[in-house]
Amino acid sequence: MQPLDNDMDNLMRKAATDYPVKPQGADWQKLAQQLDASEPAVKNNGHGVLKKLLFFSPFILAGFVCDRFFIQGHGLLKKREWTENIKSNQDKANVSTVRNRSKTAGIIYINKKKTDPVNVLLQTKITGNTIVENNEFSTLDFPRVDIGISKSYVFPATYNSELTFGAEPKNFVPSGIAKKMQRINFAARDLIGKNSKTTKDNTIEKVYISFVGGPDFSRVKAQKMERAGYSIGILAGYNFTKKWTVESGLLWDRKAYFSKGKYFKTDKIYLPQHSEILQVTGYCAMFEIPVNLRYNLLRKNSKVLFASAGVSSYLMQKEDYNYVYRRYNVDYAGTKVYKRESKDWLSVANVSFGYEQRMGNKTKIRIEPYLKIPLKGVGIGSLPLQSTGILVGITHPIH
Amino acid sequence: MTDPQVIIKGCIANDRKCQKLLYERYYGYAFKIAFRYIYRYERVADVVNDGFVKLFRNISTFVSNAEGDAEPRLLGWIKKIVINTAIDELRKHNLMPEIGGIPESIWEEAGATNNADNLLLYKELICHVKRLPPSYGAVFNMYVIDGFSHKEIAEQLGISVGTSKSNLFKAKAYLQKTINKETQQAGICNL
Repeated sequence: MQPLDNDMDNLMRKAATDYPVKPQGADWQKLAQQLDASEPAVKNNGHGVLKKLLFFSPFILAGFVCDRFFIQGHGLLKKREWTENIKSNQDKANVSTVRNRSKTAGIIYINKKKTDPVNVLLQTKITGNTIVENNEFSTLDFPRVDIGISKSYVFPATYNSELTFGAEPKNFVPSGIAKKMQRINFAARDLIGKNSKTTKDNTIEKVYISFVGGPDFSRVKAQKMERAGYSIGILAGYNFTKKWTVESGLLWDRKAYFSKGKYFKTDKIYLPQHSEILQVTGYCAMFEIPVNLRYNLLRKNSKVLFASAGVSSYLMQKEDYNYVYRRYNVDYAGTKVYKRESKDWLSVANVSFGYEQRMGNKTKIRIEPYLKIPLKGVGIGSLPLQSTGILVGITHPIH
Repeated sequence: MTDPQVIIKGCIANDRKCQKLLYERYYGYAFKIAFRYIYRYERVADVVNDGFVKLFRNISTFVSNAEGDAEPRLLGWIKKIVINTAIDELRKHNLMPEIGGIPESIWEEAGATNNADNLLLYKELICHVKRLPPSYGAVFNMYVIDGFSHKEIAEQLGISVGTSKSNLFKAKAYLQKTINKETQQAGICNL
């Protein structure tokens, strides 16, 4: 007795589709009553556009922070020093705003609300135009006023005055007062440049620990995004120098992503014969071990702007897939959970920018938008997973 | 409103009109699936209706096909739900075999069409499958006709993979024997 063969199987499948039974018993009223008695279906809310905006929002935020920090960065520092220098001198007053718009030329606009004369300490050298004599400006009508010598000058400033700074003193300065000029130049450098007020905090902790967490948005090959996941964990860092730090740690990630079937490799899973995966939606939990090198781009007082790059490894703990596959021209949906099936070492490259600020004596707060770029496929389906998000955290020194 | 995509969207929005359309359109398809598993004809309608309740409750999880063809997806989804509901019904009764014949009144008349012989053949084959013991019949239906793996069948029926394979072999042997017997009898009659 031979068991049924493949031809018979095909015949059975055909019979199952076409056999002539009368489908009686349809009762929509009864079904509607059953549906009314149960909860209504949950409306599927699509926020496709919102999700796309959220995907790029960390970088928009980073750009905003950099813009605010940089554009007024050095200029901002100089502005504050300039303002502080002016305010610190009791003779100086009535300057409502001082804005430095150029790092090299050092042009400052002084807007004054009152008509009282303004004393301004000399801060710079001469670039040209008329040298002031007798403590009076003879160039009041000019947009540029040259200031040269040693002490404060009183000048009425009922309009915007422009103080022009140059890199070198002009040759027309009389040699008799050259020494004074040098002293002033030195003083000017002291005031404007590098050796001004020391930063409030120059000490660097060698070792620190950070508790971080934030939303995570993942996608495969620029396909649509699923709902947001999250990332939470601990990072530890070691500062080699003031600029360079190495960081590593352990993060717990939950990611959600969608992919068409063609990107999902099936060599590690079971699939019925003659089947083809059409799409998968993954909800996965994993441990992430990042190793990053961090560079402090800018450090000022208690604030730090940094960039970081490195690699991460994913240790999959649970992969929950909803998948759709096609077999003999009929589509089926299924669910499959894989536990601890995959360890993907050095599988993604990390790139991030961050901002850190001291909150108390030692504690700092950090905010770090990141991008993770796949170096190879991850998970049981070897999907090239790309992620972005923001990590917000608290840092505390250990040593 | 005939586009399945539109009907599905309406069902997701809990529109009763769309739900009714979907129900009426695919009731026959679901019935044929359930009838392969459930022996008694009068119980099949209840199983199908339970299946549709589950379908409408979970339709928000139905993912539309990005390539635009929703109907194959929907058919597969309906099939999966109806099979699960039928298996649940069988398990409720511990997969006990049922007795009694299958009344002729439930079959559509083949008429004098070219396809009449095929339809008769299909009817006979399905009757043979229905006469299998429920544990054999469920495995045969799920593996041969509906494309489940032995692992999935084992999880669904609460048996081991080995038992699933064994039941399939026995089902096929049983069917072969039955069909051969009928063929022989027909041969004798034709002499």
